[in-house]
Amino acid sequence: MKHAKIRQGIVDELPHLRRFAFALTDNPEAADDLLQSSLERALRRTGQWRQEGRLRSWLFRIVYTTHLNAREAEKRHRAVALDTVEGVVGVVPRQESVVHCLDVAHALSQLPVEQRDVVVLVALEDVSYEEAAEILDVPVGTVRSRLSRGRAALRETYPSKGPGQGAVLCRVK
Amino acid sequence: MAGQSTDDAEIERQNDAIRARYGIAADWPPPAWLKGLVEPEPWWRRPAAVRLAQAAAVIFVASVSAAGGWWGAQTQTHASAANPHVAAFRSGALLERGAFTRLDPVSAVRGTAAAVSAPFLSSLLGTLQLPEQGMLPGGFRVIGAQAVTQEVTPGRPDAPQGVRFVLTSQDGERAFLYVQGRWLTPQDGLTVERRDGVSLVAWEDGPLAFGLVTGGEDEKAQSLAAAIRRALYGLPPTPIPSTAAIAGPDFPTVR
Repeated sequence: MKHAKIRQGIVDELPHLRRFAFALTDNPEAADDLLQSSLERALRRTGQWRQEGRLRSWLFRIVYTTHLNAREAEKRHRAVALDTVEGVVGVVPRQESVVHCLDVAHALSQLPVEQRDVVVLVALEDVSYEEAAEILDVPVGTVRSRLSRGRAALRETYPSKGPGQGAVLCRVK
Repeated sequence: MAGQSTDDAEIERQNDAIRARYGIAADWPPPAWLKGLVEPEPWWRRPAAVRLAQAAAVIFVASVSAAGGWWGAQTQTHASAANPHVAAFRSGALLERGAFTRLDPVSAVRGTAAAVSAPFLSSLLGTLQLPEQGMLPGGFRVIGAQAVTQEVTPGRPDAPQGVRFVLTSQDGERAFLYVQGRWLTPQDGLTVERRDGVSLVAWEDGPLAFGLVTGGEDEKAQSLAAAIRRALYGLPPTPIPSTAAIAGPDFPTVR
């Protein structure tokens, strides 16, 4: 019964989990990889979910933990695709609308990752401080401070002026 | 109070921008692996409660079809479209939108044609002669390849695997060439669609179906597709083949 409930929870939460994974990775393919790993992990660990807890928070927390593990692993082993025909390619944007859209991602990328993670979680899912703390596995006070600092920094790097009026231009890394 | 409302407005502005950037992921078609995830066992081995959950999953897919618009229209409206592969490639077109001038480096070009497990497709792909540098307009050339699964073919769990080639031009513009086995009906010529700034040119050659997705103009996309088509078979460039535009649903609005 519990297993079936978790499967249904995955189905119900999939769109939310998917956009959270996309926000964490900023890459559609990496997001689906993250989501698949996370959900397989969730299904293997159904016994760890306390039924009185929020299934949504549990699923989000697994996605986030899986992402953190992958991020740490990437730091240790700078992955290089063996079968990439040619190395990485940078592209210069030529349309202001694209710059504006990507500007948010660029501005977010300038934040410390722990601030970025809490900002995108709250912005996308509109979760409470308590639920964010549960998902990110940090105290509520930490969520508040990271969110506050992240919002303030984002205000600086992503100004309210429109594209071409002082917005921070993205640069190829 | 004025300061508070300014803060609220600023937070709302940030939220809107973040949702616009990442919210689109909620509209992506459910991938094939999800179906496998929620339907892991044959029905005769499942207890009633699990069968109920499976039924709910099927209902979920159906409800996404109805609510998603794009996904639903894709599987229903285009079941009898002139080129059935257009519907399959359209999923790829949606995912590629915004990637034509993406800022970040290509970092996920993984897998190769050799990773395709379908023997017939793998062997056929091995016979393709990829365009060499200088053969395509705008300096386009293939920089990588990635095996893709049947998730680009909604509603057809038995659909073949395919390959996604990544091309880049001398100006840094990108295009994506999808190749998968042709197992439906034969169709000559190119089929062209343009939606929301994305051009999709699809065609079939022998047992293979192709879908070229670009952010450029229709004519440019057709010209590139025609050049690719001929180059794949080692033929010199010739005039563009006949085209047939078909109507299709709009891409979903980015939230």
